[in-house]
Amino acid sequence: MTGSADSLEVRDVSAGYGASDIIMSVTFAAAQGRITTIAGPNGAGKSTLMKTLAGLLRPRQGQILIDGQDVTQLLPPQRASAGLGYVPQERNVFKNLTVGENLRIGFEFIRRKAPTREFIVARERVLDLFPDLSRRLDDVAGTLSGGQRQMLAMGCALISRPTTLLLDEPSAGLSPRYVMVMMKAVAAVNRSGVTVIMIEQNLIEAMRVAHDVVLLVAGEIKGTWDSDTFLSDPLVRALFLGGAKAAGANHDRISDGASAA
Amino acid sequence: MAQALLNGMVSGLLIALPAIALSMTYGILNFANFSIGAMITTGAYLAYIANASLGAPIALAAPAAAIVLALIAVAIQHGVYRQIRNADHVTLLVASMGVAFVLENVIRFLYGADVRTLDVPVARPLLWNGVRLNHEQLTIAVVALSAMGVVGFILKRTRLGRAMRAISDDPDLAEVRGISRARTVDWTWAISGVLTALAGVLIALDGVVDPLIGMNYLVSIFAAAVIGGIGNPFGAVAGALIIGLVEETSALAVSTTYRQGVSFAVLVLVLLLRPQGLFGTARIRR
Repeated sequence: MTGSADSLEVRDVSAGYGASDIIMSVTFAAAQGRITTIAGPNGAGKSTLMKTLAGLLRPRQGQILIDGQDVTQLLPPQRASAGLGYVPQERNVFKNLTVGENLRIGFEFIRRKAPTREFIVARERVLDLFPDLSRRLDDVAGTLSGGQRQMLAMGCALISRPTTLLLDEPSAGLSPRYVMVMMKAVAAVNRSGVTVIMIEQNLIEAMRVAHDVVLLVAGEIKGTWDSDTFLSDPLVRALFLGGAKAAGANHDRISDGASAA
Repeated sequence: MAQALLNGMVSGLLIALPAIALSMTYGILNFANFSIGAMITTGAYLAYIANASLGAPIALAAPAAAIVLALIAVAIQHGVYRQIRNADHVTLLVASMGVAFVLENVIRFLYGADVRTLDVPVARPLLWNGVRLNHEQLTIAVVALSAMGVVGFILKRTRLGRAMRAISDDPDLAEVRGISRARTVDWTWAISGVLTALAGVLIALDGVVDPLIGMNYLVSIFAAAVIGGIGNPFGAVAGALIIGLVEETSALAVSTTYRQGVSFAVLVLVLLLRPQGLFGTARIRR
């Protein structure tokens, strides 16, 4: 894999809170235009890794590159301007602001120079992807249901047209209907050319859309798999004890359209 | 009674300006700015310098004082609060007490404790059915309402206002969405400086200039901001009107010496019944 084909490159990154490291010497790359899932048991450090990638947590060592540009020293707003979108798992919308204001904020600080009509076009695009939101534009985000809130969070990250999107458990706590909507949206966003790096507890759902899987256990990378082979790997099966689940994992993949990749 | 209600409304509008400033800095920086009283005093003295010392009319001296205090507030942010920005809110509160002492003592050093007055023309009060409204009160009402209108517009309709509300809502998410915290904080202090300077000028207009004029309002301002739900500038306006009305109408029953005591009693009552304030949302601090 050459550097230019990777949207995101993480080299030897260690980070944590206080004195202790939660992720240790993490190295992996997310290929451009693909969906990479970061899998791992609870407490493996997945969310910490995401926060470090987004810039909310300073790495103690290592380098983070987006499209070949070293962003390790950049603050979150600068990383966002460099094309990195991030959807945190919790607290991912401004709950005292309206849905419309949330979307506007998602756009206007990253695309500072863009004229208003560009924002309107971008908003239409997001509302096409999540039609549920169009009726709620004037409502305060704190009144949305869990699924709608997740859609808004994703919409706010997408509206500025990032090249790389970090998703921290987009389906956490959602009903099956919304899980389906979110996963379809992830696939659609990816089809439009956005590189996606996603944490997902629901591995069955994740494998339907993901291309690559990076396994993180106790803060260390244990390997990288193709999503078709990940769940049948003995190491993975032993880790997740999901023999039965793994058997049907490759069925009905939410593919990249009829002419699947 | 009608006179007390009118006086209460005017007094409430006056308190509203610093209460909005206090609520804004609390919402964005997450600490209670104890120096707000000293900022009011500084604003009054700046206007006094421009007006009485340099001879500028008050209509020019007031905006000049507002701009200078805005710059001073931003300078204090960079010189003091920014240096300890990762400290907890108690440390920041104590630092703001330090700022208050420095501001007040610089004023005392330069101008002593003498009582001074602004150089403004004296005009006959307006009378209507036995209710008296003097020109200073009219000025207070007009200036305060205009300033509130402008702040409301900034908060609701501008990019800066959305940035301020976003940071107040969730600072980490605001950063992820591309909002520069440092720049927004500077603007918040600038607006806070303008509002407190205007309050200082208005208080001086209706009374005198002395080193304690701001401090005398501190309890009322905090009570107003807390009653309105601290961190919510719109609630602060409602809180200020309540405090103004209660303080003035209570004067019919108890001596005006207990004015601040009355504010404090209302504050305690609201905190007992509704700890998050009338317009605040309950939140759990982690």
